[in-house]
Amino acid sequence: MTDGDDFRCEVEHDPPVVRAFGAIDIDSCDVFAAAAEQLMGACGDRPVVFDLSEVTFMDSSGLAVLVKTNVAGHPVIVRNASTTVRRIIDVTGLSGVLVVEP
Amino acid sequence: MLPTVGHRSTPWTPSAVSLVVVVAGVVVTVALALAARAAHDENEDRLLRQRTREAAAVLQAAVPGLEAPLATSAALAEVVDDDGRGVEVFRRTMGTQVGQGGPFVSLSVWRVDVPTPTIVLGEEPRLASAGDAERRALFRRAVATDGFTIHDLLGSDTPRLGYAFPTPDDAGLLVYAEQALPVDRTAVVQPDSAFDGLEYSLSLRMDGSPDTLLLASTSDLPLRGRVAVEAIPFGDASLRLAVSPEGDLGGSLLARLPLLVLGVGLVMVLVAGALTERLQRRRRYAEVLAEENARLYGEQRAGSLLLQQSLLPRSLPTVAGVEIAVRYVAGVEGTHVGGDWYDVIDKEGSLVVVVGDVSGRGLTAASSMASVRYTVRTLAAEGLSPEEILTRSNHLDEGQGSGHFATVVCGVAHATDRTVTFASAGHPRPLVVAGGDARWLDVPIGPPVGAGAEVQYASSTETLPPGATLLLATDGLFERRDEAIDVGLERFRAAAARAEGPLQSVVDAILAELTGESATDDVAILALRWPA
Repeated sequence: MTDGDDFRCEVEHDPPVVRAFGAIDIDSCDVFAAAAEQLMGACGDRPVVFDLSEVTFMDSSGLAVLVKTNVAGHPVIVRNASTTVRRIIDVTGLSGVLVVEP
Repeated sequence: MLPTVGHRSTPWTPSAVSLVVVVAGVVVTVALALAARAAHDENEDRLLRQRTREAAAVLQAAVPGLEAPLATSAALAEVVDDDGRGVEVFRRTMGTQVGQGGPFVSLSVWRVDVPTPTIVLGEEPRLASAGDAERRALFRRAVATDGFTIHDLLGSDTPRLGYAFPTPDDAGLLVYAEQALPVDRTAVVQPDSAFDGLEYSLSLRMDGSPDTLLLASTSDLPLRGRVAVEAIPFGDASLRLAVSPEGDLGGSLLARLPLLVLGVGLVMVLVAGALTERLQRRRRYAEVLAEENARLYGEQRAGSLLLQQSLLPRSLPTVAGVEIAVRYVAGVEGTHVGGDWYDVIDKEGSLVVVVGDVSGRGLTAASSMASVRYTVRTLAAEGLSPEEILTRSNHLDEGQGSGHFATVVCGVAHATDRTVTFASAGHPRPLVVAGGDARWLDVPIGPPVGAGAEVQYASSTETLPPGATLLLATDGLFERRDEAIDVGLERFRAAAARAEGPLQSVVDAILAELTGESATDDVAILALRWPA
């Protein structure tokens, strides 16, 4: 079980970056979503970078945050995702929607 | 809204725990108070005995003040001649002992066998008017006694004590003195004296009878309460000194200690009882709240499940040549309904099969699921191909702004020639089980429906071998926290390859193997099987 308390996010506004630390699942996705929404309200229609270098695991609840950001009109750039995280983006067909950078 | 608790608890009945606290507290407090009182009593007794001994010592020290002038008188009496010489010497010497300033009201010299005194200083001795027998008895006792002998003259309006003292050389002479006692027999206690703070009575006899009383500090006799008695040797008798304290010898604070202990203890017990009761009430309230919450949770969950069930197909179509089995399990996590669904549509000898999963949970996810499901269903009924169904659904979903997206796998399966055409919008590919092995159908995967991508989906077509089983599932079946998705997918594939038997048993066995007793997430499984 992942304790939601272990997860945290850092937000940079210029350029817009969400930096996440820990596992993103049903318990922690609210924190992740709040960080993304904080940026969306303040960055116009600029792309939002999700730096996932410190993310150990992400499930569909995390993907939902990325997709929601994309649907809201902010191109999503996923950066430094681990193999596990890249894989969940691939198998859900989202690599064609989100920009995945090494 | 908070549940009403009042009608469930009984506000005026204290809890058993509170009662135990109060009873135990009262017992301990009373025991402490009794112990304090016992300690106080013991202390008071000890102090009183000490004070009584001191007072007795002071009285004892006063005895020589009586005995000395008597002894002097006796010595002088011997030198008084028969012709009266020396009488003047006696009068001059002993005169100071009689009347004002002296201890005696009368001092006289007697011959043992003569009924009248030979010399009298001060008042006429009462002994002179007493009977022969009384006088002789006194003189007999006096001659036999070392020191003075008491003559009891207390039974009179003006009480006196008489003292007889024989001359040293046994010459048949006696000195006799009488001392006046206060008429009311009361003595004023001097501050800072040995008797300060004490009530006392001094009696001539040790039986302490009222008619032998010499002096007392009070007229309220006998002394009551805490009384100590001490004997003081006095001539041929003993004086009885009885003493009782006016107040508390050990101080008023010590005296009040038992009551203080009792009072403070009882207050503390009441406070402790009240606190315990309050805690108990809070706990009971919390229990009632928890019960209410569990009930509300149950109701909410039951409602959510009802809603979700109502969004799933009530019955499955029957198509000759293809067996169908489905299983839907609601996850145990939370009350929020998930967005998983399956659908099977009979389209002129072919089956359109759909399994999908709307992101997120809750009522908005469920309504979003309903929307996508009916869109897909409608498009399928129009006879569109799987890739067209997904493309159009995605297009229609554009701008819905529900915030949810859906992964959907959609396919057409022909009953007779076993060809299947599948397209996927971000959903795991179907699994084909045939000949003891399981493999993923090679289906191109596009983005989820409603993910904000305007795309054209693609499909692939394949003809399955006779006896093949096709399995479609949502990720609740194999996704685990902190585990790469491929591990879960492989677990699903391996379990499917092992499962044998009737189609429904296969579905149930896979579900049991992968989710155990209870699935945390919602799971939908759809299976098709062609005859061998």
